[in-house]
Amino acid sequence: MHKLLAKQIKRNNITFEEGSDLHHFVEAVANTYTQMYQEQVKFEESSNRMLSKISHTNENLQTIIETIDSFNYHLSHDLKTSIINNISLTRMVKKYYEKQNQDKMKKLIVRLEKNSSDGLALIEKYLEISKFETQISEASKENINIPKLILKLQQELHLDDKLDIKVNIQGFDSLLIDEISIRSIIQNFMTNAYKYGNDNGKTVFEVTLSSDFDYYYLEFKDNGIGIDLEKQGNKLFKPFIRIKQHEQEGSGVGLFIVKKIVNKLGGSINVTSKLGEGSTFTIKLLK
Amino acid sequence: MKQKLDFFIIDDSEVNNFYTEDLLEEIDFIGKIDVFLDANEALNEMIKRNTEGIKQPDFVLLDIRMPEIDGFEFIEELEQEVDEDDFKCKIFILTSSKHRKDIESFEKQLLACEFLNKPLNKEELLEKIEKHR
Repeated sequence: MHKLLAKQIKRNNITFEEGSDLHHFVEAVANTYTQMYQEQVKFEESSNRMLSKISHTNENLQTIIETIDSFNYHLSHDLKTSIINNISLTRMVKKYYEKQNQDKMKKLIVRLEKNSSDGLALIEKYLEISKFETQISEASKENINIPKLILKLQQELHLDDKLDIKVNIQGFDSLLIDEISIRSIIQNFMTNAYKYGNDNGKTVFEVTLSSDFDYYYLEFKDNGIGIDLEKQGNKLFKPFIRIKQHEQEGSGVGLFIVKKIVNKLGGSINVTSKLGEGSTFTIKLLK
Repeated sequence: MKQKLDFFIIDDSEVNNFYTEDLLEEIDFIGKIDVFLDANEALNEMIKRNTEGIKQPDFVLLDIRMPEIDGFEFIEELEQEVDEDDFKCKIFILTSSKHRKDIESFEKQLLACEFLNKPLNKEELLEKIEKHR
């Protein structure tokens, strides 16, 4: 520090000659010192900011790597399963051909065809996910009226008489957001509420829009079958895992996509749930 | 004559169960075959048999990737319930996976004794049954 100070003093042309004002000189040196100190503080602050940015980026990259890992694992597993199923069924056709069991063969060929179409649907599902990601990164933001969108989606998804929807506006009703993102979020919660709905009667799906000084809160509440968070909580937002074996169709990517969107928007998502009583998902977005 | 061997097939894949059950039915020394699409149901059945002293299946063919609980969670839960020395049932993992992580998990646990890949091969199965019966 002393050497640096001396250099800076030289650079600032601060000199002391006999007869000149000592007070002035000391003040000039002190000023130089303060200035250097402030610069150092600024430098430390900016490097700290940079470090936290780097560590944030690292965390994001880690998440991306984990996502890709898990995506690859599931993709290869699902494709393999589909092909293995085809091999299994083909082996059976061969066996029953040798036994000259026409009836069994006919049934097997029907299954073989169905299995192949399922395989095709599977590939399309994976393609859709990757397409979806490019779509949201290219989409532009607009002012979206949430209650209107909810009504529109309820009609589009033919859930008019299947879900009892309530919207509580407690702070805002419109958001500046891209339509694909907000649509996917609402659609996912809405269809989940229906799929995993109340077994004894109509499912109530309640959306509450509230805000405070910094955040918007979008709460999606249903009175469906609920989730055992203690057991399933860590799996909930992972891709390709279906919590409940259910006769309803599902790909196991819904909540994963919601989480991805919310992350992309810089927000967070929280869930509370009780088996048999329903679930509440809350999305928090910075204003 | 040797006593017939009873099997459980535990897999959420309907096609796999269809194929595997058909393959087991060809083997004359195989007795009762119970198929479970839901691993929890199979787990409850085995726990129930354990507490009530009912005979367990001789062999279990267990998939890994299933909803609700996967194959290794199934084994973990079963390990907590049964006394390993008394547990005569042989568990074979039957999976499409050749993934390092799954093989490592298999090596870490104690209840399952074979790691088989789908589709089940009759000759391989016969050989493993001979090894463990």
